[in-house]
Amino acid sequence: MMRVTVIGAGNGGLAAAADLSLRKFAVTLFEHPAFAGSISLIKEKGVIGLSTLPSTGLAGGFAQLERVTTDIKEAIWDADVVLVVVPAFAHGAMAKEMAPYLKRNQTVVLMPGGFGGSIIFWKHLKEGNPSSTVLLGETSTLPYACRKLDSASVWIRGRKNTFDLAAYPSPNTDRVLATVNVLYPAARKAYNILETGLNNLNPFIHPPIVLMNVGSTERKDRILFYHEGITPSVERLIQGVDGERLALGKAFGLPLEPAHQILLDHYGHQGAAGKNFMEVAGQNPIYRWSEMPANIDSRYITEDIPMNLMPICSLARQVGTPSRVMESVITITEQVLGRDLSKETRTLRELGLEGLAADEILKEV
Amino acid sequence: MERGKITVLGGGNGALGFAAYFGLHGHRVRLWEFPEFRRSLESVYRSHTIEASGELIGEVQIECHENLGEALEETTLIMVVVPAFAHARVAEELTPFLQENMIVVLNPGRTGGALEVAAILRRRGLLIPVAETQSLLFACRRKGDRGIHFGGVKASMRVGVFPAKRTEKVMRHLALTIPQFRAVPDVLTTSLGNIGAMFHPASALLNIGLVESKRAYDYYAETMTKSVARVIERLDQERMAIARAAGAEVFSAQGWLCESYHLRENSLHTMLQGNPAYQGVSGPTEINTRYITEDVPTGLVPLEAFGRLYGVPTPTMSTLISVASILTEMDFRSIGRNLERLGLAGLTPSGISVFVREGLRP
Repeated sequence: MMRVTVIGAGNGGLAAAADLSLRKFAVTLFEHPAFAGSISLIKEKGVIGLSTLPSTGLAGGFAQLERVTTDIKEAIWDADVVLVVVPAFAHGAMAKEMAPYLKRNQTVVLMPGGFGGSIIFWKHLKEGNPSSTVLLGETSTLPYACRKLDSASVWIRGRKNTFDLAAYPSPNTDRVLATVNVLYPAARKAYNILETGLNNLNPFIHPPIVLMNVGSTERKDRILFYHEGITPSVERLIQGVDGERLALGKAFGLPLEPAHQILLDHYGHQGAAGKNFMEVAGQNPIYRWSEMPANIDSRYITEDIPMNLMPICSLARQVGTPSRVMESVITITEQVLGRDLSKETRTLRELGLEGLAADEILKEV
Repeated sequence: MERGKITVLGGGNGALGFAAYFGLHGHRVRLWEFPEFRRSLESVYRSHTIEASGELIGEVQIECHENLGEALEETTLIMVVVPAFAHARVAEELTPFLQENMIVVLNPGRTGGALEVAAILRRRGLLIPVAETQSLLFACRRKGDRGIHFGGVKASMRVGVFPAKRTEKVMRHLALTIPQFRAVPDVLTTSLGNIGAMFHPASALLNIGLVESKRAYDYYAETMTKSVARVIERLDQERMAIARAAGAEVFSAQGWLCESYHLRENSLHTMLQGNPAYQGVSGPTEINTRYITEDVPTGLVPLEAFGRLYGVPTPTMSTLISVASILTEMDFRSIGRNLERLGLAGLTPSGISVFVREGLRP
């Protein structure tokens, strides 16, 4: 039986731990000691309550975990596969903590990687342990749409029917995919981590919706994020950034799908339908519970912009594809927040991609 | 003074307000509106009367014209009361009929109205003065088929004249007709004093989800939240920096709110939320609103252009113009008041000063 360790006990981490455990994998859940409080209840009971929307096809119930710990060594030493389900800005720090204990033949998957997450993770892994030889991969997205109900239970309302996976470096993708497909048959092979990074729709979807609804967000109207937040003009802004995403993909020879098609791939089996993003997202049955964040300063902005949209926009400028709409979204975010995000961003330099042409970047990944 | 003829161009609230105002003051008024917008004036055109209520009361007789040339015969004062994005079109229509003794007044000019109109007239060899006001003299609203309700008449109104060297002569004529009009040094003062361009596009764009939600809402209360006010403050800092570079004395947004509504100086957010006059104002309900389609091309676009001429960075204005262009699929920088349309391309800061004073490029 495959031994799985889930790193991170947020919404996504709990969902993965509970689902995989109910599907008979031996699951260890790790949370950083700094957040020990968030898993104390699970640790005490050893159980996560999982409820699911029937259309996901996933069974709910009480998931009995193998181990719950805040000790990284204990968490990963005997794992076959380690799923890292933490915010993108924590990838580097997490890699450093794991570095001394990861062993050959272990597989680590960032779920998701965000843009360049694997590069950052690998870099910090090597700094912590120069001889580290794990297999490293990343997904384009979290496999679930989910939310914690309380500190020991989680609700999965969406199960993505297909999503992308690539290894870093890409020649290892088949091996990583073989492992991940045991856990998630929905994972499919991507060319490289540029494709998984660009198929993470969050930075192309979340900021436009929040920024075009600043008043509602700040007044805490809690309107429905997708069902009410996307109007024809918001759709045009999303089309604008999505067009630039597709153009950037093309510069790397990646035949990316438009955003609404990716959404159909994810949720068509749960009833999503339509011909453009506003239709598909605006009527996606599982989005009827997605509310506008309660603050402007939410991860929809503070993670998606500096960790994803900013390096992607820099990359577009570097290889010469259109970036005007992304730039507008970034600038307007900085103005709305009243702060310069350039210090919080993942830079191309940090990713080792600065100054490289498209073909050199392809070689790099 | 001889009660001369005045021609009012337009057919909305402001145009009918001016027509009624002049009629009540004993002037002979003629009204002309573009044919495609005349439908809403059917009753006025048929009866030749406007009924004023509110702060100004009475029934006035006016001439209504189908033909612009006839509407301008023996007229010396042409009051243009149309959305600013139509100023260029008005100028084109006017050119065959303009004469040296006429004065054109844009009510209001927004940013660069007089410059844009004068540039069009100049190309036809016409050097008549063009004035622009800071805003509309009245708060007034149409009521019924031929009624106009005056909520208030402002005590004073800034007027800039292009070229500035003709200010005295123009004001001698204007001030007799409209005593509230006060001359400012030049059109840079009126153009760089555009407050609507600070408030409207930012609040509408950052709340476009609400604007298009098809529900009625309280404009200032619901759209002018803290972050939106912060963006407006930045816009206003950029405008004030341009005005300083141009040597134009203009109100800041906060200063203007103090002056106009007798509010205590405070953060912009607090002032906007606390202004009693702003309570219950309903907001736009579609993207095709003048808050965007007028305030971007005749406010932010020319302000950005001035910024470039004076070397003042305008990142906030530029972003909002770009976002507005993306959302509306209209390229506001090319259709709006850019440097070419303002007749300012290639001028240095000192060249601009000479130009607005003399009306001729140095």
